[in-house]
Amino acid sequence: MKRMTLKNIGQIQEADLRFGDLTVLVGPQASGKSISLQWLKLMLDTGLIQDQLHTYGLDYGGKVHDFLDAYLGEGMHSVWQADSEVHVDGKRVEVEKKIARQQRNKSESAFLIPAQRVMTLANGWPKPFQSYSPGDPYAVRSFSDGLRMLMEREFAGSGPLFPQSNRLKADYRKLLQESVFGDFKLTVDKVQSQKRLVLGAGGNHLPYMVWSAGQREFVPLLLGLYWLMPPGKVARRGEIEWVVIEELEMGLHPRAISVVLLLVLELMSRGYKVCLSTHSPQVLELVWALEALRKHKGCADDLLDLFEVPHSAGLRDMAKAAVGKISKVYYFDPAGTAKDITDLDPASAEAQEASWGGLLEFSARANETVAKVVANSPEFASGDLFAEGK
Amino acid sequence: MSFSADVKATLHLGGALCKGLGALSATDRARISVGASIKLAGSVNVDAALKTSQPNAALWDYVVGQKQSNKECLHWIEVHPASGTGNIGEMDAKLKWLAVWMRTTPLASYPRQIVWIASGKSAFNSRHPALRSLANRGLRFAGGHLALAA
Repeated sequence: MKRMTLKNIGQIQEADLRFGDLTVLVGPQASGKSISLQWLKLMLDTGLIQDQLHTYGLDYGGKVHDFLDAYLGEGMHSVWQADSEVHVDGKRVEVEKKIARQQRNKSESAFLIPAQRVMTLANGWPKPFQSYSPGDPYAVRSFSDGLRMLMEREFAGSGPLFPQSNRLKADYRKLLQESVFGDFKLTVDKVQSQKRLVLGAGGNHLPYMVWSAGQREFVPLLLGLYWLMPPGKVARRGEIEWVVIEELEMGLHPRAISVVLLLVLELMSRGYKVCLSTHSPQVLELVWALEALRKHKGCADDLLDLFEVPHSAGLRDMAKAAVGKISKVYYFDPAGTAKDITDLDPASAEAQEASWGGLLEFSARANETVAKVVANSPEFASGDLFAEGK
Repeated sequence: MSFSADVKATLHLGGALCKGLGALSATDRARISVGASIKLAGSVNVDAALKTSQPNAALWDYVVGQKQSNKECLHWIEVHPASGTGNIGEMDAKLKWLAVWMRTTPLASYPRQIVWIASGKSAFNSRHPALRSLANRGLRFAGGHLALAA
């Protein structure tokens, strides 16, 4: 899929999204970013989703509204109206017909890491699909179940989940150790017979609920990345081509966000197409830099300099693959339209592009306020501000 | 005290006062929008007016006067490239010149904002430390467009 157009779906009047290797959606709350990402997953994985809902006893009777309540979550059927339309690569999709009939392809093409990922480990262990309420969004249930399978199939043995020598490059592990985990190791222990994830250091084991907010947000994301980056020489998992991550920055310090962004580049270098929604200007700063490197023939070393990471062979290979990738940025406005702001020119006459979809508005106003106060101050008037050495 | 009188009283600016945004080139004027309720007191092309007397100085482009209910305020505007870090030093030099020169004129007594409008694509966003540093010295980076509002 290269293009998806949504019309009159929920708050979206029209969103015409042309995907890059990296596509980023920005905009205020409830402007349609998450709905768009879930429709992307639905269009790519209809058969799998239908099959999974049937398997776990969710009977939507072939009706689109009941299906959307099961897929998007309780009450969300209302996003689909009489004049709603979905187009994929320019062709209108007969959504009602598609939902009414079980689609053949049941392999997963898009892996979605939802914004609510912190809930998947609420008890310290990923919950199975059927343990959620029927009204919970499919994205959360499916992600949680995927983590459960990962834990059961690939981490049944002893030893820490992080750091682990055959998961992620050593450079990433070191960076994550510094920015997220400190001296802690992510391991599995048991309370009576119940397994749970803990962070351990010096013989002390901390359960999930006492981790820092950033660690609680990051661990489900890390496990998702483990799923997408299998051990060994395999670049990608199964038939997955798309990775969708909602708000990867949640709970994280900017240094940790940088490491997660490096891992996003790693995903892209492995051939995944990545779609993100974000409220972080740092994510757009990466896009800004990537597009400049692509247009002005920057190199892998330039990209690694952006992250202040070693120019090791592994990271250079990743950066070489990532530096030529195409990015797209869309701003979802509260009026229901999505605007391409990929140029991200702070001098653009288009206010939403200049403010990077509103993410720079406050910093621009802070600069304005400071400049105004200083320009009218006695220090400016006396010239003290410009004295030698200042 | 009025903007027009004080412009006339300033050495070399006397004959340079224009109505509205008339002192600005058409290209630069297009970078500024003026709210419907805004009344301008005129504008001066400072650079052009002082070029002969200060040929080697880092001159500032324009000053625009705005009428307010009981006073006037000034917008000191420089339209300048923002394509690389070299422009930061250039703007800093211009800001220093402006601060020193302004003190020699009656225009120093007005409330003011000092604004840099990018003349092309910008290499900086408002989170750039260099722009924060310039803000700490009184200069606001407005991107490619300045809106004058009440």
